[in-house]
Amino acid sequence: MTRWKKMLQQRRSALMGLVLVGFVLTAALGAGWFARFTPDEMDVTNRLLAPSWEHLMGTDEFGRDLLARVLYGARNSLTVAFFIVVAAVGMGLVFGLMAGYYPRMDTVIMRVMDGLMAFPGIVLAIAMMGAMGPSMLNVIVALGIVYTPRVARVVRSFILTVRESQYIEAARAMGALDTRILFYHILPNCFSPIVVQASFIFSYAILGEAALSFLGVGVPATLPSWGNILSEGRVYMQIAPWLTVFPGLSIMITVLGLNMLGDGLRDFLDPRLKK
Amino acid sequence: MGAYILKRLLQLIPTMLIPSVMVFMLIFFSPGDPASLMLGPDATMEQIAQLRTQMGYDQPVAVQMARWFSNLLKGDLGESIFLNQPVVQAIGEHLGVTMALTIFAMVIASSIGVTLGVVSAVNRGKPLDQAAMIFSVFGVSIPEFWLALNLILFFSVYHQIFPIGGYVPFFEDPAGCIKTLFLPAVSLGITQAAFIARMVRSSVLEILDAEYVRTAMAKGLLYRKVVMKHVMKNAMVPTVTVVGMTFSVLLGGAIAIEMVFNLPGIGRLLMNAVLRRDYPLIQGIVLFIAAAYIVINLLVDLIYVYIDPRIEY
Repeated sequence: MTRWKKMLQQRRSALMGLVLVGFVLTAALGAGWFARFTPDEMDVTNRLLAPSWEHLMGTDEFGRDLLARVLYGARNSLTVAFFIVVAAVGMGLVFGLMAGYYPRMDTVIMRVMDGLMAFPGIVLAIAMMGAMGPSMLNVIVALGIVYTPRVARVVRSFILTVRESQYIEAARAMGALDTRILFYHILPNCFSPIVVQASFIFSYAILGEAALSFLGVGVPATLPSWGNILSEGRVYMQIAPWLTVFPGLSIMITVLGLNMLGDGLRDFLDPRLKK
Repeated sequence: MGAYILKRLLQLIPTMLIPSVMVFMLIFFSPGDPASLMLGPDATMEQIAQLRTQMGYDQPVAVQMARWFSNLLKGDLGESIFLNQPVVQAIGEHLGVTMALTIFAMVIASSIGVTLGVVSAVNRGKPLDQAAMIFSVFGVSIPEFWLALNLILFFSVYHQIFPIGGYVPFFEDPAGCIKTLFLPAVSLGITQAAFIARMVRSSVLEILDAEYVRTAMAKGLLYRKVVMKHVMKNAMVPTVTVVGMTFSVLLGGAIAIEMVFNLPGIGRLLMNAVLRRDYPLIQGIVLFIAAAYIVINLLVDLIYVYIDPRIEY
């Protein structure tokens, strides 16, 4: 614990990142408590109101409170992004472990990973969403697949460096099964690079989900998410700029926080990458 | 060199193979019969059956795949269902806008990014460096489509300096083209400028620490001369890598930017195809973008050999 404390003391930007991420998480978790309205509560007499004490972020074209929508949208956007990270790290770990540990599977798996990386991420995600149709689960599947190669590559390259090391040889000589070696001896050691990757994937996932939803192929319009709110607000942007300013700021603050935290984690956990 | 280029060109074939298989398989991600999804709920059974036969969806997967690849080798990406024209033709008609946009954005991103990166590395730790790094941390965190909306609000709605949308081809009216593409290219380029600045800064810093730079300084060369002659030359390879990498991000980002500014490019074509579930068009565009990206990477590799004779081929 003191090690982490030291890291945060040494790297002010990491601390700042943690504060920003903490702020956004608190806002999302406490959405019900902070918002005075529900996100779907319509009030046509109060359409497109500018920010005021009553509606801190103003109201949208249906008279819905924008603060409530942005807060509940945070829940959806962060949940989707979290599961994208889980999916990408989970699949990346499995493929990376197999490719790194079993030379026979290496070529096949890594060629598929290279194939996935031959597409700009968002293009591949849009194509998959186009085929599967918009839904929260499909966003997780599509972006999870898009970010899998990043994790797989890191895990594989780590395993290649330790596969022939003495402690693995010793474990093998003692008769340990491959699964035991992989999960008990190798996996705990690649914890650091995975955490660093995960923090960056989290920020890409926030941006990716926002882009997909903004384009109308992400989280269905019935659920508020930052990308959806931006997309809806865009229509009234000229007369009600707050409709795009606040959800965009929320995305920026979250991604900024995650990037700052990620940079700090990387310098701390993986000093070789520090530049 | 000629043999190396030929070898790299031949390597394109296996490199393209896996993305092509993936694009072919996209159709299997659809949550039902692709033919009825494409035609919508109003289609009759006959129409659906006819489209299914026409697209070959009633054939075994192996046959479909063989057909897809044999067409691909002939440069045939199929027929768009809604546009009623060959996919290749549709892509050709929309390519100009996307190319102009990405190249313009690339120029903005690399000129700002490289300058900021070098300036902040040379002034390491000074206020200029800190300002540049604050810009880059913010820059990489801004969604480009949101930046685009804000730029429209400021430069087109509040101050009528730039048009909100529309596109004029470069060869018809170069000034008009630059004017219509300025805001889209800036929104697309700024985030990548921030990314390039970070990467260039770190590679220049690494070179500044190198022994040959210390030797050059010890010889009494002017700092400016050391930076220009020794540092910049060696920072070229990592810089070209980063600029090449950003191309793929720019191609991806161009989709949302084209939608925001109503530019008739490949990105908007893709989104229209997605919203209408025009599968052949989706597959064609995605494959085209992957191919463009792979070719750009090849060009970057060839540039390395040109700028750094130490790289063997």
